[in-house]
Amino acid sequence: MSTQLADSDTQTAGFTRPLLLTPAQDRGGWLMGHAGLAALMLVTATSVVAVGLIFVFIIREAWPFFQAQGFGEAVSGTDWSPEAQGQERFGMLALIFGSLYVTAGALAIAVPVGILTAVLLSDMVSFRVRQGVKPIIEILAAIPSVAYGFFAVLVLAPLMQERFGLHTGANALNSAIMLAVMAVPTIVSVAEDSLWACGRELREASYACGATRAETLLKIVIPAAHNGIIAAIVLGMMRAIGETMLVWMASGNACQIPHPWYDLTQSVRTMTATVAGEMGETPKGSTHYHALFAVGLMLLTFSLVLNLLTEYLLHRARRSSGGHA
Amino acid sequence: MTMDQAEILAVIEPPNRARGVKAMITVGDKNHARNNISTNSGSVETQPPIIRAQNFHLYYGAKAGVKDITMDIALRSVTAIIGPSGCGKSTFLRSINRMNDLIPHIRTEGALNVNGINVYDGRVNLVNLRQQVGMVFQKPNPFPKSIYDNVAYGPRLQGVRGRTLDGLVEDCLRNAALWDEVKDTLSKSALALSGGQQQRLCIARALATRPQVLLMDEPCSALDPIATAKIEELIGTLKDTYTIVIVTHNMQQAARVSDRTAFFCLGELIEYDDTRLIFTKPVKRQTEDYVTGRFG
Amino acid sequence: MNILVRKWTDKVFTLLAVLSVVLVVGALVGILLPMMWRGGGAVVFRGTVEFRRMQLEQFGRGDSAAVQAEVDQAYKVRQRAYEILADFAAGLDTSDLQTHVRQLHREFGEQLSNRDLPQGQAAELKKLSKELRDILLSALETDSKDQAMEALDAVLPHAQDPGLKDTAASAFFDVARKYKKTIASMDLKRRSEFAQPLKEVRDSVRNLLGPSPGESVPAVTMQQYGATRWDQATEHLDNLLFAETWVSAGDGKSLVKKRTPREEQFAGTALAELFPYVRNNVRPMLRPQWTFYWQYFLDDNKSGHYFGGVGPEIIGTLAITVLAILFALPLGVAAAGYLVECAGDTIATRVLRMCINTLAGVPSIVFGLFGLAFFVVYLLPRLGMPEGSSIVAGALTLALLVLPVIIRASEEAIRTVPRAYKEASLALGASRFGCFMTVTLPSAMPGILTGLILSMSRAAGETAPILFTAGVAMGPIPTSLSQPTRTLSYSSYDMAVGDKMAMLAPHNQFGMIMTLVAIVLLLNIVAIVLRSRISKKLRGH
Repeated sequence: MSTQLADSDTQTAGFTRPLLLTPAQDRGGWLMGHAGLAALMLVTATSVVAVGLIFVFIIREAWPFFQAQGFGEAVSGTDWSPEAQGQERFGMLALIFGSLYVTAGALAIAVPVGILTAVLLSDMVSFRVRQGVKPIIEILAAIPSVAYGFFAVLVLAPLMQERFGLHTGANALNSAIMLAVMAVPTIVSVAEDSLWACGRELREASYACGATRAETLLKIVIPAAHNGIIAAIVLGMMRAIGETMLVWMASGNACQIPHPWYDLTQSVRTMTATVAGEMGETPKGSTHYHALFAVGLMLLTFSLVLNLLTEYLLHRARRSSGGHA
Repeated sequence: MTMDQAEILAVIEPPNRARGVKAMITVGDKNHARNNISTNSGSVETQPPIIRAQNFHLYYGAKAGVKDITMDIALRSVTAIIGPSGCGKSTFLRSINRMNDLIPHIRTEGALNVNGINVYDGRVNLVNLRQQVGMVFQKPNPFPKSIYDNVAYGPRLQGVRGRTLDGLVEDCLRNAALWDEVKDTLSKSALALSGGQQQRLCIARALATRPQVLLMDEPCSALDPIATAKIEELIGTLKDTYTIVIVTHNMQQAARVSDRTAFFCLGELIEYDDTRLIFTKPVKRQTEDYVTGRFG
Repeated sequence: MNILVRKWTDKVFTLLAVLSVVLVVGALVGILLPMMWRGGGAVVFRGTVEFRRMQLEQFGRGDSAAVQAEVDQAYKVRQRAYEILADFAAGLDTSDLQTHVRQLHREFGEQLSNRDLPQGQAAELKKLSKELRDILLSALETDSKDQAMEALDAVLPHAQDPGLKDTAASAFFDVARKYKKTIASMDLKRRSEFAQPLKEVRDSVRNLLGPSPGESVPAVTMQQYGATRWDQATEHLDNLLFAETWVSAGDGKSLVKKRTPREEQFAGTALAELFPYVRNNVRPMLRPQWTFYWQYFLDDNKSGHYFGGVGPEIIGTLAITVLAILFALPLGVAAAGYLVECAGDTIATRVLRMCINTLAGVPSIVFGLFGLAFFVVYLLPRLGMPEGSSIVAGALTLALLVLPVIIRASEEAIRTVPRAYKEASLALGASRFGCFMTVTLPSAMPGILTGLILSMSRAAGETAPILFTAGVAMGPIPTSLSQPTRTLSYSSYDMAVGDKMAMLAPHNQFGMIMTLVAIVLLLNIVAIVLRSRISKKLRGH
């Protein structure tokens, strides 16, 4: 491997390694390069394959249900009794309503709290406080949903029943409150990032015109970050709709649409809780089994649509902020 | 690259690391009149050039980085490339070891031959090229590893181990005039060294692969005068063994260290001659304006 | 607008924002603190002698001599209470005594035939014994106190009879004496009234102190011991000392609970002294001591989570989590490497990124469904594994769940490696792959590690994906990866909602969830610290 510089009459320099190699000569290198790249692409494609498989298999198992029962009753019927012998009904409307109901309740709490917190973190506190509060938000996000469900059932539900004299502690209100606690970290972190990305110049311009902080935020900054903030809300919504363990434990699992519709203190059941609760005892291949997959398919579709929406909004946010983020 | 050279190359056996393969000889075209410089300088010219650019162009997309560069660089010489900012000096330098490949959408025309082979030929093995054409960067960039591991990085890739490796590392650190300062702290992080030491470490690291050519892209611009002086001294000792091409915006430095100097401006090679002549009797008006400080 | 209004708007807005943050932080504290506090009570608590006895007998832990000594000491104090109870009970329900009396007569008869006595004497003694037996029986059966007293008084004088001394028949008089004492303060007509409260009292005493020395050992482990924890003991003591009844609060109103001290309930009976005795001596009866039960994290549970710990659940969680990471980490880092180094701005890359984002958005229960349909039902049986849930299926499902997290974190980490390192590496003749492996990846390691830790915490806490793929509520510790397992997440859910027995041991419920939250929090704190050290390093250089 040495580079002797003798032989100056036959060569201009002691290049010991040929610079030019055909693929045939550099088999090792060529193979490594291309095979390695191919392997890498394959591995990366796992994600694509996984998504594809998820859709394929969920649709595959849900299809028999739609074939047998059709769409109509499934999405408009409120009677979900899959185990009633001979008279099974698969009306999912109550379930869909349940999911949307608790989500709406959760967002009603989480959106104002989340956005105000995000605003505070981006505009009202010093850097050090921000650095100190952000980990707390992260920890809130990291707590498993089972723990929140635990709290909802063993602490919040008895509280509601005994202190406030409600009929049952496991109801839509309980679920909505806990879902809000779970959604807030998501909303805060995404909203805060987009507020931050608006940049100091925007705010300085507004203050220079004599605006108060509230006016700057309400009239300039929040509208400027509106794409990101809406994305944050949509992400929070995704978190709430997709949540399983908490609603299974805390919502009461009564398959009904509450009378009157605004009475949050009644029990409801969500799509996610239905799947989680009933799949365990359902024989594989039965109509009930396929019906549950149909519910799962609906969940998947919802989340896919919301995901695309989020992508679109974040894309617009990145563009409008000129790539600050 | 001519057809003869291609045929000759085609019969070379596959690389055998133990034996080493004698490189190709450039059958230089002695009637190289396109080199737009006079040939009345000394011994440097009688050896065939190790680097030869022939109408070399490089484009970033639609923009031209360098246009129509034709110059020869002789073996074991120090060539300085000077010129104002943005004139393509670094671009040209980086083309020699194909570091420009990191930039997307580049396109080249013409030939840039190293040791007779156009480095932009599709069959060029970049690993071999870069091991034999080393580079030192503007800002010292030692790896976040120990001093030893930094210098040993290149040889390790080639499979050198054990005591041979130790000897090589010591050798290179001596050649880079750094050995005495770090010989007791080889396992310390390289990031703990001062700027000047880090740059000398980078030079040692580049020397470790036993290159034939050393490309230096403004190596002293981030360093203080004392460190700069040390490195210039180093270049003086290295020139006996290596061919050095150094890009610098410091004209005095070019005057101090180099045998020949090339003046680039706006992507074109304006003048290329012995350093003495460039600075005392430049032929082109632009050159004269630049070296006397009228612009830049 | 008026400047004052504007100022006030600003102040109100600020106030609302501060309120929101306070709410958020308060929610965190309010949710975590009670759970962790009560869960901590599963590990650090005041344990009684029953606890130490249970640990010795069920888990083989502790010094048997010391425990036995303690038990003996405790029993010395409990003795009295048991006596009072037994005597009173005997007074209420005399069927045992009656059987005993008949038995005594039979024994006496046998003894007589074994002794050498003149014929006439033996027959006479036998007749006497029969008489005594009959009178005693009538005393035991009657509801009239006067009649009983009369009968007893008729029996007792025969105690001095020489023919009956030192024989089985002499026991007649012990029975008579005891019974006399028992009914001395009791209205026998109210016997039936006391039956139910006595049962409650007995149950309370058994819950508090465990089965009494003469009783047979119950089959159910839970009932073999008294209160193992001081807080349990306090509760049982309360049940013992106070009776709760539902009484009507008035016309049309729902029933309310009414507490009466049992001393009142049993006023005037022999049992009344039980209550002050127990109340004043409960400490020496149970000998509470501060206990640090760290083996909680290692022990299996006994008797449906009533005793023991969460060891198998921790093992199950770790097994699934580690396996999931093993699957996901290489895939994720390789994918991140590809995205940063090799992928151009092509449609393929955009599709790839969209797929990764889609994967990140799939609800966890849908992952569970997919895991069931694909891994459990379709793939793993084809690979030769037995049907049904398994650790492998759960781990694969979780791997898909955390894959986007790892990809995102790794991508960010790889991107922040300074370009200078890459250039230097390539300029020294490294191939692109070599550059990646020797320079880029090592430099990105801290960031990748952070992502790894965060996905571990995510995987440990997820329940829905493993519901149908790997989790069971009860079962043995798995011996191979193709078996299902208990996990902290699944068991927490089960203990909160499904398991009725678990309600009796709230400290274990909270202990389970505390363990899970503690593990998750620990991992997250490590990740946060790691990340701040990385950013300090980057800003410093």
